[in-house]
Amino acid sequence: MKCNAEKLEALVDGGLSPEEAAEVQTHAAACADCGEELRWLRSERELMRRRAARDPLPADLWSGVEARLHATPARSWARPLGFSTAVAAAAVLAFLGGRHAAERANPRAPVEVTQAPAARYRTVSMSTTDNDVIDQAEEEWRRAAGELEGLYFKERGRLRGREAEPIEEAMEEARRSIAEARRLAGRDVDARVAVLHSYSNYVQSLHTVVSNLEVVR
Amino acid sequence: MRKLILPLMLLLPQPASARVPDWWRRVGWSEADAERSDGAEMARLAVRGAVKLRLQALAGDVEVVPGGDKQVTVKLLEGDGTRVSFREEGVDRVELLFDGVPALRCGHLCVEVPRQSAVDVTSASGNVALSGVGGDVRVRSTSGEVHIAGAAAAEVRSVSGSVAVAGAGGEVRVETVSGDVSVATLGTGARVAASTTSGDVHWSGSCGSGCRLEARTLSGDVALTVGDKSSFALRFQTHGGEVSDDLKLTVAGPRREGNLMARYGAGDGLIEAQTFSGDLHVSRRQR
Repeated sequence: MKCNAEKLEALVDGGLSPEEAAEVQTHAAACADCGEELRWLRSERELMRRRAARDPLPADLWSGVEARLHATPARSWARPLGFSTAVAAAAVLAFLGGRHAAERANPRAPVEVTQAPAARYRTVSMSTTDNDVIDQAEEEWRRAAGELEGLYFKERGRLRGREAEPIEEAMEEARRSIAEARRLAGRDVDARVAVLHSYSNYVQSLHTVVSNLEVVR
Repeated sequence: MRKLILPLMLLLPQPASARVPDWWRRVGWSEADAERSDGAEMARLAVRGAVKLRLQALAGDVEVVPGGDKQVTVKLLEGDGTRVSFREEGVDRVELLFDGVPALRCGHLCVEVPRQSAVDVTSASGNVALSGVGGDVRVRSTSGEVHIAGAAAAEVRSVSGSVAVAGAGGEVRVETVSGDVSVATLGTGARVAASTTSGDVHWSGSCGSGCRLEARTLSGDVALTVGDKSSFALRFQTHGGEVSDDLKLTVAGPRREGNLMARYGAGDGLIEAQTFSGDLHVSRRQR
């Protein structure tokens, strides 16, 4: 088999059958690229697990979405909250893809979703509408972005001279772009899923910047 | 909304003087600099052949080009005395260190690698140009432009800079938040997935059997500049965008608001374009 990032992630997340897991593990043991990717994924998941343990997900994560949605004014991007939420958001993205496929086959079929590691691989039934789920995912991405922005500003003193300027301009531009896209998307599900991908891109980039900052003196 | 950009730069054999991208000049990196060695930090590493190069930059411009078959050469201009060294792992993995740390902080870095090398660049700010390396490339950039030419597969994630990929031999995946995306492909079997939140997407090439092109943007435009040898089905989905078609596509399905299904030629390949408020422009590529 060839390197397959999705399979590696699924392996780490416990989403493969024993046969598939064995196949991927065997390949990763012999393939330097996959081996390194697998080690990285495992260390990342471990970090997230530790952070999740420190800052556990709220018990009403999936049930109180609508109430929070209608009660929630615009939140500050900089509000630092649990990083583990990014994983939950990733799970929502994956869920949405599966949900759309399922609804095309049977519009009223109940859909099951397996949550990501932060939710301890529980399988739960989802009965909320797409927009409700997206609201939740968006909230989680914003939390993740807020936490990473908080980490960035905590560590930005490691940057020299004007190194921070282009990074912060890019962050500002990304926030502006995503906010405008969100406004534009309204309640359109496809457009909102696209906005979630933008959050994902932004959060991953923030993670990269923060990781880079950690290696410099 | 109609700001259609994207002159597709790069590639194809050109005289050396023409290979200097515009952004080099903007940052003050001229061809003369490339020839000058005084004041530049230089380092060489003997290798057996193609390598897997990893490079991280917090700041500074990065260029990677093909060089000798048995060595990796690094030249850092305006590096403020930064020492460049190598970290090797296994038989072919090479990482660049700057004063012992795997993060470039300043200057203009030029790396020559053996052809067919794979390159993985992470850049927080600064421009990245990978030209003719021939292997798979991956770039993750927060700010700054990304130009890739003559790679195998290319995967790029960028936040605010524009991304241009040309001449990739394999699958191309590009994702940006606000940057424009420009992709030019060779042959008729291109496999491209390009998405951006607010930027424009421009693809240029021929799409025939085996071709699969996905172009998505929320508020930007999608422009397809199509070669004569193309044969594809087109699905366009939009909320408020419009279509301009200079190619005279054959409408292939029921025309519903916000959806267009069309065909060009026998419909061998597949192009899916999606915008929310942006327009789709389809035009013929000029010879």
